[in-house]
Amino acid sequence: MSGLFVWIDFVFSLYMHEISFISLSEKAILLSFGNSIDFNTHELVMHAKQTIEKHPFPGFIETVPAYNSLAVFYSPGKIDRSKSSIAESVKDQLIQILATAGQQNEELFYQTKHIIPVCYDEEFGIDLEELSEQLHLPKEEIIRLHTSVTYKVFMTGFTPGFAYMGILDQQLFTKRKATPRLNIAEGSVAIAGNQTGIYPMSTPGGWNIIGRTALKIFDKENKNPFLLKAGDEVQFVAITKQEFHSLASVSNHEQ
Amino acid sequence: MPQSPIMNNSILHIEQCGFLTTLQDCGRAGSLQYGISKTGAMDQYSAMLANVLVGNDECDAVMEITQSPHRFLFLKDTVAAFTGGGLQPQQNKETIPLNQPVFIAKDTVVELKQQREGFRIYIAVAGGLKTDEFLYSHSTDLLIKAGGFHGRPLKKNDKVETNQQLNHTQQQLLEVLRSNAEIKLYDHSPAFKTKTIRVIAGAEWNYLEAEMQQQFLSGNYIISSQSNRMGYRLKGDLLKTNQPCEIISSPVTEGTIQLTSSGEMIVLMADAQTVGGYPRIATVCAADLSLLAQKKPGDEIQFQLIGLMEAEELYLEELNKLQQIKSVIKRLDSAS
Repeated sequence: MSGLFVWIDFVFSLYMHEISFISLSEKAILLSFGNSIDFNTHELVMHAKQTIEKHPFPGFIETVPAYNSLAVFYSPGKIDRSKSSIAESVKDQLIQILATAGQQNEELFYQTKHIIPVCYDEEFGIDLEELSEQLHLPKEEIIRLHTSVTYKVFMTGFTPGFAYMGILDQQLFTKRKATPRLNIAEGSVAIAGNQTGIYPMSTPGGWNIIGRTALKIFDKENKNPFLLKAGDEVQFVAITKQEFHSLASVSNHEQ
Repeated sequence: MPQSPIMNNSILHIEQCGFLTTLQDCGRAGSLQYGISKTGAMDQYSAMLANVLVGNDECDAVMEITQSPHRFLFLKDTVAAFTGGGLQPQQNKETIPLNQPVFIAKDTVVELKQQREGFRIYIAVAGGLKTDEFLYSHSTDLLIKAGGFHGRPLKKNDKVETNQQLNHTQQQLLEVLRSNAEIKLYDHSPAFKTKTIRVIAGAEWNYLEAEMQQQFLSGNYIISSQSNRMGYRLKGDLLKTNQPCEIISSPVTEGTIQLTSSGEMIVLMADAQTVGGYPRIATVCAADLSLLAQKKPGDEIQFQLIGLMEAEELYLEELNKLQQIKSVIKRLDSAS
């Protein structure tokens, strides 16, 4: 435990120096944490997010985390104004909240680990063949590499519930497709750049499709419609087509 | 008047419907982090104004009508308010005044076909409009087909219902207006003709060299036909950045002006995505976002840079105006 406290203390002394604040609009302030995509930066983002949510200031609405930035939305009319500018007043309160949490060594970080079964059959993994040539890797090796890493959900966006996850094994780094597809099947598991993702609904998209999951990633009928949240961890597990279909029928039955 | 034992809350029947009519409120808060768009009224100010004029909460559901002919049959005596632009409401060929509460008798046919400045007109009725609530909001999300009226735009033969019974103030308002009294509360017609849209500097404003910043602020831009509730694409002289035209994906919001790698700009609107990878060169200030929402493809705009504090004051002034109307409506109740 003491190791963790030391680490958090370190985190706060580190990030109070490195956060920059800029207004996204009159109703949102953007906190930026350096300029790279990596786990440490993202952990600072998630830490700030959870600290602010745990100690909300009057007028606070919500946060939106991304790789190296965090937007904090608020109602301008409800802010306690310590400075003549509303945004400056919000910034002061945020610094206060983050600094206090840092001094008290608050342990906040929570995350869920998900095991997601994926069928990498070519019926679903429609780009496997092409990737195999492009990356000079057998299909089996692509699947092995994709299931060998525990991924972090950096953020969700693009469409409801679409989770941007990383970081892929370097051998799987690849470009987006030159021409995006107009319609990608719901549950498609895809890779692009150093990231992987799952299409929660049928939408256009430019990532390379390597498989499909029967799990509902976004279900608007569900009380909690989102399976994956920023900060969560994801491990993919390969399943057969038969297993996929039996999972799909269970998940349809549940609705 | 005898009431049927079964409550029928239908308030209007759509006899003719145009191309994009949806139920909207102040937008969906709390789920942006999961990639759920804010949605809500494009011209937020007109929507809130319509609500306060009929004694509703400013964020109750209203109908947003995009400029195209509509005809409604009112099924009940109603207090309504029409705000925004694009169309002039009429009953029996007579003009219904905008921006004030009006009495509409049962069986009245209201037509919206005569065009006027602006692009979106809002209708609020006392008691609010009934919707399918989704993630704590009334607004229609057209992408995921949720909220609003069964998650879809309204169409011919739909019957829209009210959400709740009139409160005491609204009953007073109904009686006063029924007796032919006119209540004028709001006399500044919004200037939809104004070309100038005020902006504040964006997170990546410095991706533009001084010369390009000048071009951005002096150029004329035309709203392209590829514009919708998600965003307005602008046509005009292309802008160049002093570094690669991309950022690590980061939050965006309504009003964010993105510069795409082709040098074109997109102004994100109510239904926009929640994160984006293009530089955010500027943000349309909240007070002028409503004005921009009243622009239609082909309209010309110009940007003017203002300070953040000035933008904040403009927005607070709008909120104050709404508060003033609210208190006048409340006084109407205690005066009677």
